[in-house]
Amino acid sequence: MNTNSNLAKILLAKATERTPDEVPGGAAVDNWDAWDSLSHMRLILAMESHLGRELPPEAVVEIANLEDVARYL
Amino acid sequence: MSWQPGQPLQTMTERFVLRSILPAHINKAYISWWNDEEIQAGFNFKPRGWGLKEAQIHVSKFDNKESFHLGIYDKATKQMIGFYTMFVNYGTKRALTNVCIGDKSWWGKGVVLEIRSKMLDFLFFNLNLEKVVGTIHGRNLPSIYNYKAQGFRNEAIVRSHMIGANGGRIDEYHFGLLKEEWLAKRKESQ
Repeated sequence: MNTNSNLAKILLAKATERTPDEVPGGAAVDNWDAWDSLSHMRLILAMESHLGRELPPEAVVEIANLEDVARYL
Repeated sequence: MSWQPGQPLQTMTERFVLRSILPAHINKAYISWWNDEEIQAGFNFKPRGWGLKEAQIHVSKFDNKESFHLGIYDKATKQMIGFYTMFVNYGTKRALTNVCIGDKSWWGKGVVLEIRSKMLDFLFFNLNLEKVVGTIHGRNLPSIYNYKAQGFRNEAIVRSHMIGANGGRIDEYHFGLLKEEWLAKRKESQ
């Protein structure tokens, strides 16, 4: 697992108030109950805080699974 | 679901009852949602300054044929916690919907996904529509999540399309779901 994938898992874990080990490898907005609308908001804001900039609108509407999160970090 | 065009609509999900709001159903909570800064920001509006009269005029505009304004009631407490609105165009077989969860204690608890799933069935199967669309004014992250989680596709981001409630220009996000996509999504989740 590369650095971005690890970081994606950590950020998603924090946003969903879970541990990284509890985040399924294939986690997505439509297959993991812990990933709800509020945790999604926390996730995007955490990504932006890490990046030091706002994500472009195209990224905001695309992010729907763990791979997407890693790709935009 | 038993319903005739023009008659109030009532249906239910596991946790909620949805029914057409009539002027007699308006309560203080419903009016307060129109005057709440945080809730109205989700619609890109400032608080409306509504009272009972304005709320009654608003709910009277819906005909339960081409436009629906449904209260979302918690089955356990029987309290209205929000509303779901639908505008139907039978000519294009398309509907535009939006939702407001006014009771903030329900935010992040899957209300939108649960009730919209029920209403998508109504729109596609009872009304035989072919597309449902939704529009988001500005970067409303929970709303974007809800559309994505339910299989809607982002069809356009119209850049700097409107003036935000707090000044400055904001983007408009268009989401759409076709009947066949909803059928596939239902099959996938069964």
